[in-house]
Amino acid sequence: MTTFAIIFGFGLIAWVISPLFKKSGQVFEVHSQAADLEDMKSRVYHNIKDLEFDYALGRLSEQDFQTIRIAFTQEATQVVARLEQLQKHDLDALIAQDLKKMGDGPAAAVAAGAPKFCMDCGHKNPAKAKFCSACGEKFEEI
Amino acid sequence: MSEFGHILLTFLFPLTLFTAVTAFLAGRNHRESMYQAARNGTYAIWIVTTLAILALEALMLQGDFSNAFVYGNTNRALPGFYKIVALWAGHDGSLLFWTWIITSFSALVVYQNRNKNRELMPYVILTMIGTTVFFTALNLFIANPFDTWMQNINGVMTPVAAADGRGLNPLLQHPAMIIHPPILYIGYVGTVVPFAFAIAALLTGRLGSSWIKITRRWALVSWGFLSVGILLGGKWAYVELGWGGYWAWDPVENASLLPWLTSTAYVHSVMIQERKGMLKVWNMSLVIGTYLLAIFGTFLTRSGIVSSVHAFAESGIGPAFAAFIVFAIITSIGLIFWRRKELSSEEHFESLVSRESGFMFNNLLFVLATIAVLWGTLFPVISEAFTGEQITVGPPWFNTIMIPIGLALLLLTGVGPLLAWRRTSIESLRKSFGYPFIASVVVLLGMFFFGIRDGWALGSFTISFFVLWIIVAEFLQGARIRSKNAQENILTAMAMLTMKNTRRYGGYIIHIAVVVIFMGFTGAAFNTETRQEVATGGSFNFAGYTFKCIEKGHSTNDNFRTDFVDLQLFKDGRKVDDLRPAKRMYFASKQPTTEVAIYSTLREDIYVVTVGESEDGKMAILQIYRNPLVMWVWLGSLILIVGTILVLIPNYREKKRKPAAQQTHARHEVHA
Repeated sequence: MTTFAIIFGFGLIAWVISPLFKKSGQVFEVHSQAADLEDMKSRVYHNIKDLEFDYALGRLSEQDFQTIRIAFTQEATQVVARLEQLQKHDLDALIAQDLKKMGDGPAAAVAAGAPKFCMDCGHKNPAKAKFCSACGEKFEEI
Repeated sequence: MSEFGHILLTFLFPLTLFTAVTAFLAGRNHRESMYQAARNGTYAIWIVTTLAILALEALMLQGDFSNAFVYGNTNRALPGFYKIVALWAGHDGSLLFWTWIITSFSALVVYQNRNKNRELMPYVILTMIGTTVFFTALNLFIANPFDTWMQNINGVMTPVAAADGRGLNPLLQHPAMIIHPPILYIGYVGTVVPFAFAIAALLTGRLGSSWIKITRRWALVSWGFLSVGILLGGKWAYVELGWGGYWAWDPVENASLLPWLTSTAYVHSVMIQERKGMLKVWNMSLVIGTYLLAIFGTFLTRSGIVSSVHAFAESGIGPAFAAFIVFAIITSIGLIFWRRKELSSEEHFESLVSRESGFMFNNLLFVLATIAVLWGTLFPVISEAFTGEQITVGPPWFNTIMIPIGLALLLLTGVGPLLAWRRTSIESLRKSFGYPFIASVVVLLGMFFFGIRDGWALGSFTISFFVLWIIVAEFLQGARIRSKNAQENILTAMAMLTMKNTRRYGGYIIHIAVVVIFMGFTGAAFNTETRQEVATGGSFNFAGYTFKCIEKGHSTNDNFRTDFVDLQLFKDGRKVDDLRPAKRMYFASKQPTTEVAIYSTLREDIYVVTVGESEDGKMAILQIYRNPLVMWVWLGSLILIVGTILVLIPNYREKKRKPAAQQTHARHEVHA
């Protein structure tokens, strides 16, 4: 019983602290702007649904319904547009990452000497640029 | 086995510290390895705590009376399942049980979020395990259930192996003991989860509605368990304590009511933040307040501070709790202050006649109620601190304040759903309030005509009727629109409507439950009672019933002696029930208990208690209460459980049957 308890205790300790000895200094993802925007999107959508429900039950005047609905729709359009932009941005980054994964092949060689295009404004920058000379956006190390 | 338990607790304490520290570091530097270690630590803590619980259970089942906790809370003759549940009868064991629930919840939350919310989770673990550190420390240093029983022999504390234990408090030897404390504890501890996410949101600055969405179900589950725990406690007091009622504004009862009040406020106001990004500081404060009140409730229940200030000082647990609560308050306020800019509202109130302002009034009333109950509960302590004398405020004080607040809240239950978000047209209010208002006035006059003169009761019944009407109308109206749009019959439409928006309609069902419970409460305005002496063969009349005494006798078993009176209850010459009120004397603890006999109908309860016997021992003295509508409280409780479960079910998504444009068109047509 005692032996078993001791083995069990040490086993448990070893299991708990084992991740600390892993060499990989992997860092987990910090929140993205996309999550915030998704939040805002679902909020606007819910608000529109509520509004329609309240109107259907006759709690709002026609005029209030129309005014508020237009405001919500505009808000939704803005949020969705920003999300789209962000997703495109993410895709660009993903493609660049995939290319990098393919190793020092011709693609990498081209990439190394090729001019950088800003993902935000599209401005063409020299290959070694760290920031976009037009809009100041930082180039990610890829 | 006691030794083994000691080792487990000694091992547990550094393990919780280690996990809290790694969780903190993982939150700071986002390092995956640290986070993994914190997660493993959380699981390991649960395993060790579970083993500790099993060790204590083994001690109790074996009847190892060298252990102080086992000696103090069980005895040989105690039935087996009471030996198991004696875990939460005593001070030390119930704290260990508290620790076990919080570690279980921590492990569950970590598992639930194993692939999600990476940024928040380290701080969630930090907060939950941080709380666990405190409770583990209490268990290890102050209230250790594995301590040996020591007796002072010639001035030396000597371990004693007693032949038998002192037994379980007889009041706790009731089937409700099996479920009431765990349910209430789950309710209490459940408040830790939203709190942990709130703190994580503050620390990371992720203050949008995501932390609220993640914890919405947890908040509701904890709310549901608190509600059921409180009502079950009332039921237990009603059938076991024998004073004829179910709620006495006793400090321990109030302790459970306090977090319930703030958490009820929260489940309402949270909707404003979800819709409008407003009231962020307010919601944060409600979540934090609920957690603190839950901890405070545990403290109040366990320390006995109110009933006896001396027990508080002696056990040493009081100062520790006080320090922990003060620490939590300062940290939380500091964090909110630090994040005050990010916590500013994204929108503002547009109209006083809107759903959000309805929720705001509801919140103000709930917070007012919380302050009143807190003040009344702590008044004996405060008065002793200032005047040296404990002055207790009794039920009349609480009733004077809480009945008007309760009725105002009940009224809001009816008004709120009729208000639209943002702004409501006065025209629509006139339309939706017209009929129920007129009908309620008619009901009021009717009740007055039939002789009800109690002002509060008239108000309560009228408002109840008004609210019921509105909720039923809400269901019908929604269903009518749906049945036209979706070509369903009205019943299918109603079911579909409910399943498609469980939160709204489940909420309405909870409101119906609240109305039913209020009607039950109101019955107390018409309570009557009498005291009667009766011998075998005798009889008497009370409240339209005839009581016949068949036998006054006694019986004995290993655990207790019973003195009972067998009664037959007749109404209109027909026998309706057999009643056996009794008194028990428990041998181990030498304590008596009252066994109540109740004849319960929808209309009223007949509640019989034996209070003693005449000097010659031939006549039994009975106290009989007629308590109208009490059953409605328990019925309402059942409806409340159904409503809460419904709210927790995810919305049902149906496949589109028609193009969206056509549906919108149909909706407009209805109102054209």
